[in-house]
Amino acid sequence: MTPRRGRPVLSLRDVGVRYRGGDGAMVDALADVTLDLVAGEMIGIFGPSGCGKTTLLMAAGLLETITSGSVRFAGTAAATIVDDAALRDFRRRHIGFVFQKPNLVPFLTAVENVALAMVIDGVPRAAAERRAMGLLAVLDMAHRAGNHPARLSGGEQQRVAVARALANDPILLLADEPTAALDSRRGRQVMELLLAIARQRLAAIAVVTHDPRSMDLFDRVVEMEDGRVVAGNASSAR
Amino acid sequence: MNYLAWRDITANMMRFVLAAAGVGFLLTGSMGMLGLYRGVLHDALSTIEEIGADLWVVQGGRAGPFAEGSVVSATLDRRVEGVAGTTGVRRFVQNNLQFDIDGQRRRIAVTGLDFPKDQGAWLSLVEGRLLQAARGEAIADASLGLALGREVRLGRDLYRVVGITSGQVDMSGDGQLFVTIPDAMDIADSRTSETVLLDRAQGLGVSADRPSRIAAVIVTTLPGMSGDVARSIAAWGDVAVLSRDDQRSVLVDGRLWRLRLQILFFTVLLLTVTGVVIAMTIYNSTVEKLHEIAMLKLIGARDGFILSMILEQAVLIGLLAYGLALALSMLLFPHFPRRVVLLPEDLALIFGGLLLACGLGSWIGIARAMRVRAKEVLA
Repeated sequence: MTPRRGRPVLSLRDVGVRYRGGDGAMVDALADVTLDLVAGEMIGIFGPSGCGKTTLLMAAGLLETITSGSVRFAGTAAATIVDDAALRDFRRRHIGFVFQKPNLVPFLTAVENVALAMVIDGVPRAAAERRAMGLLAVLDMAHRAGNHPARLSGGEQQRVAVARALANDPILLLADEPTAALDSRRGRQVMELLLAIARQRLAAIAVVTHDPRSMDLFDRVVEMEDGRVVAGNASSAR
Repeated sequence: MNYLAWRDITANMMRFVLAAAGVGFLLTGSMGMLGLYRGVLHDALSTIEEIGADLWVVQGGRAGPFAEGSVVSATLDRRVEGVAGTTGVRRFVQNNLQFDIDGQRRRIAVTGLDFPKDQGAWLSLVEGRLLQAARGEAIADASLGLALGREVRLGRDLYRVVGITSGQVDMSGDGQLFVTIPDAMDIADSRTSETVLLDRAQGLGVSADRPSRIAAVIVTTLPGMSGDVARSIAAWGDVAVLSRDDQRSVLVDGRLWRLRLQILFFTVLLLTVTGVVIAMTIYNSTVEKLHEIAMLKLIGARDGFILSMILEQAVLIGLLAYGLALALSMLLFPHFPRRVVLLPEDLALIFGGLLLACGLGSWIGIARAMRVRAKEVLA
């Protein structure tokens, strides 16, 4: 899947996620969500707590089974990817994730954490680490490559997590509150970095955030409420 | 090796080494148990295997001197000698006795050799010579600690150690002292003066009046004739005849059966504990990594990658532990009071058991890891 600017990367059509709540009643975590993302675009997903932002991200990242609607990646229906192993293979090759917490493997160095995603994909370790060094250099982290996560600051850890998300050249990058644990300056840096990635690598990026300070960086802002998209589903890649 | 498994080990080296050491000590115990059993078996069978008997003629209705008390006439050998197909007969007697030597109470298995027919040529001497006199000479096993040339009082008489042999201990671990049959009988029959006086007063007579007794007669036969000879002798009715295989079976399947069962039970128990320790170690280490495992699944790691990370750590712990156990066994067991024999087949058996324990042990951790879902990263 080689992206071209403006080409559809992710299409969600009338997606619903419904589950049984603790009291036995059915709960609609997502209802009739329709959303498109195109290559080179970075969107922000806003909304109050519990409105379904993270569920939307999980449905887009094939982590949550949808109960209605469809999810398509560059024209391929996710529903055709039937078993768990195939889903993981698909995620590994096409989707990158960044979270509020960096979730780095504590016993691996920064470069090893980045290389891990490639090693899992069958890339020889030496080649994976060479490429990981390149990614860390792009993120201005090459000088910290040999350090374990415990020896990195929060911002540095988040940059390593971004590098890891980019390791397999994903067409879609999903970020859940990536700047929540960072101060405003570091948070801004990470958001600018994501935008640069969207532009240079033509990845589609969806960022769930509460932070209004980065609003100006998004191509589009999607607002959610009670599991529904209430505004902003119109593609507008710059 | 799995990339993550190795990096996890190097990052938590102390925990890994301690786990391997713990399992290693347990395996040393398992090796010791089996080795001890083999040692007891070796000691028990050494005389039967080395003395060169085709048949053992023992007290009628009894299973021979290695299983229970056996008393036959000291002249039985002359009757046996006349049976067609017989090529040689020797008398045999063995008594486990205690003596004060150098102020210490010591147990000795005094074994009679039918001198001059048997001077102890079947013994492997490490020092000295065979018996050359009908009286007053002894060949001692090295475990008794009697130096060559040493004179030692056994009963009423002094015996000079003229030869030292090794590995000649009986089933109970007592070192053997080989003397001539008359000496062995004298040593066994030595009584205090008071006992002699009491016997006389009760009309039991003096020692000289007592009929001489030995434990068994050992027989060699012409090739292929041992069955016929055994049937001929057994037909007398007053004695029983055992082949070498019968003797072996009496010991292995009879006298040592409970010990065998007990050692097997302890070995299984130790291997089970080993499995539990491995399971606990791997399970704890897996539970600690559940978040990372969820992350691995999120970034697309296949189950095989995660499974091999867990399994390889378990197997590596097992291999290190096995190496440690082997090293400890070789270092420590030669200093044990009883012989510990490590046979390749037993070591292979323990290795197989260990691999099984590693597999089962890591299965619990693997099962837990497989239940983790990628989206738990977001939890």
